[in-house]
Amino acid sequence: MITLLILIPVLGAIIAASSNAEIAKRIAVAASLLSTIISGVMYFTYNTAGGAMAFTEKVPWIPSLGISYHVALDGLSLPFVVLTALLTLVSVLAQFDQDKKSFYALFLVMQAGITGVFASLDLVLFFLFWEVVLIPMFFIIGVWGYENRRYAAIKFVLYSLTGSVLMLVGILALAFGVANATGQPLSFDFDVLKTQLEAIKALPGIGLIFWAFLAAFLIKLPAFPVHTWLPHAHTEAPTGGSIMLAGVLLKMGGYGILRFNLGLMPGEMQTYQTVLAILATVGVVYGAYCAMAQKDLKRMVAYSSVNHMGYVLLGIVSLNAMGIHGAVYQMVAHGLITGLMFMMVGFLSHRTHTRVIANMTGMYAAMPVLGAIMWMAFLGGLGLPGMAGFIGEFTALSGTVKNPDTAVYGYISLLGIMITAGFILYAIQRVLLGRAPGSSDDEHHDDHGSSHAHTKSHWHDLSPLELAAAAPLVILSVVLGLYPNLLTPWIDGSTQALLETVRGVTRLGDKGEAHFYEKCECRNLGSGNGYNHDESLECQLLP
Amino acid sequence: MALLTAFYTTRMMIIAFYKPRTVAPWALAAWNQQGEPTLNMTQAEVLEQRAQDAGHGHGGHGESETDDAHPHKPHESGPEMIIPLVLLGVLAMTMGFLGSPLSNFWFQRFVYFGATPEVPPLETLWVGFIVSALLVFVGAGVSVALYWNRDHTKQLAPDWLTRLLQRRYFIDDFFYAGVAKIGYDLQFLFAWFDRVVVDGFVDFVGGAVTVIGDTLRRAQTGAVGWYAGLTVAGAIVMVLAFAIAFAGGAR
Repeated sequence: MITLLILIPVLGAIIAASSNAEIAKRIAVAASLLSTIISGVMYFTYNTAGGAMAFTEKVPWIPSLGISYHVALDGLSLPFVVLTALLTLVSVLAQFDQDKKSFYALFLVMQAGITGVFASLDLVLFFLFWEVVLIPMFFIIGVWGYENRRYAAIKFVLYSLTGSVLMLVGILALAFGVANATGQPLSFDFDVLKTQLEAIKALPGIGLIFWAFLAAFLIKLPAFPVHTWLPHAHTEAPTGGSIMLAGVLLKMGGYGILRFNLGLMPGEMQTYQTVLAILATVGVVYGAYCAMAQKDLKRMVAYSSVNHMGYVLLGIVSLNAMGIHGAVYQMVAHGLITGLMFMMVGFLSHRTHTRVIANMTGMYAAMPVLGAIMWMAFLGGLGLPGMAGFIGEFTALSGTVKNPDTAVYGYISLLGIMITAGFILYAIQRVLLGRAPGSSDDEHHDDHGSSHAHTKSHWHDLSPLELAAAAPLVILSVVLGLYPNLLTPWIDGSTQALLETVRGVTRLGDKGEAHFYEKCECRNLGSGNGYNHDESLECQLLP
Repeated sequence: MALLTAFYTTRMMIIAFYKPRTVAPWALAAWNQQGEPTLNMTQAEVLEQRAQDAGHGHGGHGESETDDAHPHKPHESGPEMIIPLVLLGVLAMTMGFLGSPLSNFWFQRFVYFGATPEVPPLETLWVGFIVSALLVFVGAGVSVALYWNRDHTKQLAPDWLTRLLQRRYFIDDFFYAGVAKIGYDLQFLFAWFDRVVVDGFVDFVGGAVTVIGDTLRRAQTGAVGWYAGLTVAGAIVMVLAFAIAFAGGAR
């Protein structure tokens, strides 16, 4: 099944690349739609109760080096695989006006790569897919981006490559180190490494290996101070590229930290908890402030990602079920909402021919549908209760505050929510509110609707195609905000499973061990389908 | 509290219902010509500004409903307002009894889900009722004494007190200037730091690598003499290094 998910976009890309643009865009839609449906079916057939790995496929690849094609999915990766397929579909629909077949082929290649990243349980395979994602994005930014695209594309690739080279060193050091320490044959398999690492009490240089992995993931996330590729890349990329970047590429970082740093090296995660919590907190406040200062609307949305991904890192380093749960939920929510934000900003700048906030006003009056969806997306980014982002941020911060070691960073990060509210509302006020440009001032009852007839000739509201591209994100960000049960059992089961295995590791330091072992007081978090959000509220209030 | 509430409520009723229908100039000037609120101005300042505005001819009052040029004629509300108001009025007058000894503390028992509420002895309650009722009458009385026969358009309190109250004890100003402004201005510091220091460092590293690469590229001239010279220079450096290391080791 997973192989099918990877092969469909690859085949689609090959066919798209050997046809013409008109056929290519239809193939891109068909391939991503098909993989969305397949991954959706997999999502709902997955048994959430145990949170175990499912859909496993394991074929030896280079047996002499212990490398195998090992793919599987669990509740932590399944949501992202669905998200990847969905956002590819949405990006292609949002960029249906391109006249180059390679544009669509590159999106499909990227989809295959990202799916592979989330599914791989072999470190070499993981690295391979990780690199596959880079190349299409380089061309998408560098060829189809805005004015400063080359600088942004090169910066993106150099930054990411620095991280992935370090990760490669980490992978090799880990595999060879474990093989030396145990005397077992070399293996890059995740499960094998995990078992062997648990058996070894101390692996020399594990701290460096931990940071080598982390370097790649922190750059991708991105966390302060390695975030500066993001504003360039997100701003210069074409709309579809920005959606993919913000929607799923950043999640590779958060997922990597969860799966590899926490999954393989929990002791080091505990050791460096404070450093990471500080980085996350700085990212939250710093990202929000930088976003506030931007004059470019797209750049503002880009910096808001630094802010949002700070909550993700914070939730992960809280090292308890609630925090990790919140981090994953926040990643999914961010993918939907920020994807929608980038889409709307893209549609808007396509019409206004500017991205400068000061040059736009009254866009809601000019284009009510676009304005309303943009308004919704922005409020979602602010963390409005009732939309998915709220649940993610709330749960992540609850988890952070619950752990006495990270509580103070959780409280400081609340400041970030305030600043986010500030810049989002400020942007709404300046861009969306006000008189529509071009509507005549001598009309007395301008705000009573009669001006629409005037403005319709100047501004084209969303076309049906654009609306179709936005609809899935609009619907899902509201549904997941009102009915979290559609996602929480999946995350909870696997979070518990992850923490369960991590608890067995004896290398955990003495300091703070208590909360690490401590099970989430609310058992219903682990029970899966009995979960609802109000109960977690009560749990948080427990002493 | 009861005293003050009774005082300002009565004052408002006197002005609204028993005074001739004039509009205090400072009430009119809620918005000045620039569309900015003038609530922080004293009466004298407002009157002065009104005079200036009048001097400019057409004085725009922004969204002010009580524009001199188009006075709205007062009229009774329609049923859609009357009915809810009557309902609310009746409830406001009668609901109080539900929490009193007259209804055996029905409301308190309702809140405590039927459990017997803790209530003070009846005597204490009656003292409380009587004192607060008296205070209400005193407040209303003072209000009537002060405003019944008085031109309410004249400012009664001294300027400093008026300003203090109109600016809500300057609490909003404190939050704006002290908290919001500083918090808002921090963005420029953060953005500068991000652009110049963090991203500047990244660009510096990238630029430095480019320069080093460029320099090394130029060193590959392909001229045999240049390579030979470099080899000799390298050999000399190595010999010197060994000599120094050997001398250091021998000592």
